[in-house]
Amino acid sequence: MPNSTEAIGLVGVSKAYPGINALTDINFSVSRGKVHGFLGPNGAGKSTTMNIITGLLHESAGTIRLMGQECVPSERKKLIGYLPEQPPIYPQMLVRDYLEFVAALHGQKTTNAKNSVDKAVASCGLEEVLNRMIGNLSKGYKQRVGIAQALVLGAEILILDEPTVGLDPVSVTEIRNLIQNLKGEHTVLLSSHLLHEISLVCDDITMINHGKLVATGSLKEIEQKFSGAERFTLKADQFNQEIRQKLKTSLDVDSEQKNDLWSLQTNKKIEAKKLLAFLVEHQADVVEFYQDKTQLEDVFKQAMKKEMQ
Amino acid sequence: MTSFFSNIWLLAKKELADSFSSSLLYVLTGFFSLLMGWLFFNYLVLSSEMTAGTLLQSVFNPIFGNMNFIFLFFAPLLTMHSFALEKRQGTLGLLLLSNLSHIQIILGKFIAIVLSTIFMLSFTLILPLILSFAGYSQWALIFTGYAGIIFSICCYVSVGIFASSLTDNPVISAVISFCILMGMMLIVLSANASDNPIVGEILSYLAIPFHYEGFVRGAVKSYSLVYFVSVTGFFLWLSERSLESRNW
Repeated sequence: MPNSTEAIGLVGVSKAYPGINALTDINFSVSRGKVHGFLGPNGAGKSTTMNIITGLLHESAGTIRLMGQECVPSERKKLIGYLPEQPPIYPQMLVRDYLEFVAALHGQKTTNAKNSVDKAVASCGLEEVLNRMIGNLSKGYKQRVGIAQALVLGAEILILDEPTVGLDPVSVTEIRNLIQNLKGEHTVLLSSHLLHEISLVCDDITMINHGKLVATGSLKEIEQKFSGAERFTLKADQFNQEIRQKLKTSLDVDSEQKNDLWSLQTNKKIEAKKLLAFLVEHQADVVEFYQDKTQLEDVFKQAMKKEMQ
Repeated sequence: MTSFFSNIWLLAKKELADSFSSSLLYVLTGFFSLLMGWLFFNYLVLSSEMTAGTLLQSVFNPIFGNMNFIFLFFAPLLTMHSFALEKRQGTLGLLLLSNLSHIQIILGKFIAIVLSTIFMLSFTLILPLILSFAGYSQWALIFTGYAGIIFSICCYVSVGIFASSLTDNPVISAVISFCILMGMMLIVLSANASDNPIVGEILSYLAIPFHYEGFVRGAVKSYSLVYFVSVTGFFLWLSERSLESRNW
């Protein structure tokens, strides 16, 4: 059922080409004002899904809702600002001319176009390069111009396909900050291979593989669902073979030495305080002990592994 | 209706700006003008009598024939980037997601390229102007000759745009459009070789030179106008189908 907090909703969306199912029964929704991560390995169907949501491709089955309303492709393209993996820029145009051209392409009259261009320029920090030729800009700036063209439309929903791909770390941080600033005013569906970036920016995530939905939900829910292993780091003066053996037999915790630290890992749910109590009880002389935060990369690998099985 | 044409003009303006900021148009214009000037000089020298009738027959008819032939090569070069480059630089999606319909996008590009070729042609207006100083005054025939070449160019450009919509490689696009255009030219050979007069007539009607020559001779037939408009419309429609197929 559509709800007022939903910006994008996919219900049973499939895409079939002769002899191949690119997408099969994809269901997920993106809440308004959130940044929603869209993950999957190469060829998983992320770009196909994004192209379908924008209206560039037509779905073979299923429905797509935008702002709670079921929309056909021609309606969808008016409601979404889209940055594809390759920014759609004309290298020979000046930044201002390009953005005004994009605004005009979307039917904005001169005054409105100027206002929306100014707003997009301010949001993306393009003031300095406004009168420069796009082809002469750095890759980071070209990506910003790409995001600005998606903003010029004035749509609440933005779809950004790999906006940080190929950028240097400084530019990645800048684009990340830019996306974070868009949060609230815009709903962003963001695809990226940089899982660390996703974990920093996104509230919710959806994972797909081989054109099928693997998981969707909040980052925390997904982590809980797929965090296969609990990891701890230990520094102890008396963590000898005997204690390690007992740890294995009693709590099923494996230990591995990394320099002067020990990495403890178990596939079972175990509370940190229970493990620490065990170590103290067995007089391991604990100097340092903490639970490692589950990395999205681990979750992603685990999810893909489960999906393959 | 106004918005329909203003959308077409919006894209045509941008395409024209791209054309006039690229060296290709100037190189082709320079080469074309030089070639036309050289041919004009030679035909003029070879012309034995300088009367209006002989000038038309020995200078302008071959000049217009050569123009048509040259555009057979130029049109694929001028159109090869129209959609192939948009696909290659990822900007086709930008146009397809805009307020412009497929047909507006195609017409915008078509108009821009036709105007660019008219720019190239405009330099040849100096040729009849030179002869006017020698007393040449058959302007109606010059007008129909230019009308014929512009109609031919419209056909060539529509074929080029269609070829460009099929691929993201400009070279492949140029080769495809050249092959189609060459085929449309060479139909006339099959028409001449045919024993069956009806088949011969039909094949002649399908060949571009058959209609173009009528314009050059000043004999503008309504069926030639129908032919040019139909061929142009048919290939623009095929281009629209080609863009539409991307949705699926």
